[in-house]
Amino acid sequence: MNKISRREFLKFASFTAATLGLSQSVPEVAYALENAAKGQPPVIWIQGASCTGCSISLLNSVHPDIKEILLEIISLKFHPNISAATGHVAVEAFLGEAEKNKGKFFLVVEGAVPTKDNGVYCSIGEKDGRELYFSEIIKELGEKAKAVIAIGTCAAYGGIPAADPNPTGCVPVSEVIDPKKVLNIPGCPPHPDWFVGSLAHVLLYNELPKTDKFGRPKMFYGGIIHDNCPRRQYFDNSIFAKDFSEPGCLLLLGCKGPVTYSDCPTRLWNGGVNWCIKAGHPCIGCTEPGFPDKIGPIYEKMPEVKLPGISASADTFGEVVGAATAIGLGAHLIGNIVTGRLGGHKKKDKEGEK
Amino acid sequence: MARKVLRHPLFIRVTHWVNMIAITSLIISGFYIHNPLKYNFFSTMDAARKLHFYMMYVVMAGLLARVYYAIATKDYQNIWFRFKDLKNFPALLRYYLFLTDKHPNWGKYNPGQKLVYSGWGFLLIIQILTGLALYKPDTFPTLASIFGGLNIARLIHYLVNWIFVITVAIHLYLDLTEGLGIVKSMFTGYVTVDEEEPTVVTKEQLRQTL
Repeated sequence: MNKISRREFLKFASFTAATLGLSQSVPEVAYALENAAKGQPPVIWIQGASCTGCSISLLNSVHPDIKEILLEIISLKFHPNISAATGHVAVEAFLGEAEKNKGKFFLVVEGAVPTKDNGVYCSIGEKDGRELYFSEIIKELGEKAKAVIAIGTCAAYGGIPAADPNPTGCVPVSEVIDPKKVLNIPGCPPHPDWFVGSLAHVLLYNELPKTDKFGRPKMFYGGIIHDNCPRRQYFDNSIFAKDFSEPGCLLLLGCKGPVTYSDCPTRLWNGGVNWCIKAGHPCIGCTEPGFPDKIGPIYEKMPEVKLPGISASADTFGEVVGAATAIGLGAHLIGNIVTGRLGGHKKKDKEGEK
Repeated sequence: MARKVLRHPLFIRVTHWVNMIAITSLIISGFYIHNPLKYNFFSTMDAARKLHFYMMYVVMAGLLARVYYAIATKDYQNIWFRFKDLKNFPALLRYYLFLTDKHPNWGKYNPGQKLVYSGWGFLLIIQILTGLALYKPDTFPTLASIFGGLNIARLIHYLVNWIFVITVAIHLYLDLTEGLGIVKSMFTGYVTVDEEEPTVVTKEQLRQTL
């Protein structure tokens, strides 16, 4: 059996607790994380086609809170929103840090990567009088990084910037950087625990957490919302809300709970206070690939069926085709009677019976 | 001289009616699950889902049995749609559009029937895969990723359901209007044929019977 010291045991236990997402209720976790990770690991956070919402969401972390995360747990080398430096100084800062911590630092990417026209639609600074395109920078930094965390649905799957008609040619981070290196933390925005928990897992086990086919950590995106929904009983009993103020299952108001992998119902947001469905709003499926196009519209159950020249809801589509078939069969029946084919056959059958 | 010929062996008759019951219940309960307020056929979602999940297993078994039978007895020669059947479509369309009264003898099934019946097998596989992805999203997350997410699986499941509704309607209509002898044969197994008239039974089928 391996001998472990008390200190190691506590470290292990607290990391596991953080990984399991107990961080909100156990303040000791933050303390242990901080001790274990002191001076480690360097993190460079950059933003592309994003709204900064993922950074704002991280402020929501309770234990460890954002101050502890930024100052004590991780060594944040660069973040655009809290960078004191501007212009070329800032650019040199993060490029220099990346070079200094080559192979050691974590690259956190927030936002999709615009690739159309060589990425001209997203420039994050200047160097030597030349614009630095986001698509080039994350390729460069991605190669030097130990691992890349694509935070938010935009970075993970393209999200809103990549939605139809996608004028800037946005792609997810995993299409630009080797997908094996990328951990997706989707969500619009992602829960702070998903990021902190994944980071804790990486620090503890020195490897990326186990992911599903879409590159999401299974420990946070392992089950669907519908199965753990507090309003599930309403669904089983067919009590459906027709209005946002009503109690009842929100399915018919467009809830995407049955098709969304996430642990929101058990984790809850804002320090365990509330979450979308508890507040009476249907789940919008923000952690799913294809959000918002393939998972939307927000207040409809299914995306529209798009054929050349036609775009209709799946219901309309089915009903129109069904009605067309009914009319076609009716017309054929009239034809059958007019031509006497129907009567003729009957006669033949009778003759056969004789 | 008229004589009775076995058109549908017992195995085909049983699987036909089992699949018919299963698919009909699946369509009805499926519409309820899709929109319980619009298609209000059941008391609760729980009841509709239970029926849907029982019948899911029945239709899976039914499909498996029917495919096994088709392969084991070489019945697929009657029912499997091949691309060479496409060239028979103009003649079939001429018949259905009343341009001619002659229904050529293509064997047990005409090319339209072959297309629909083998198509059902293919569509059932799609329904089973998308259905399983939606039924047990935790157990089969890979299935969801094949279809590009559960919501797309849900859309496919719903649209293919409409193909079933339409083709079942056409199937029912044509069977009821093309002669009740064929409908009867799905119960009794036997169809009365005239020796002089082109038979609706293949030589293969006759050999099995005699």
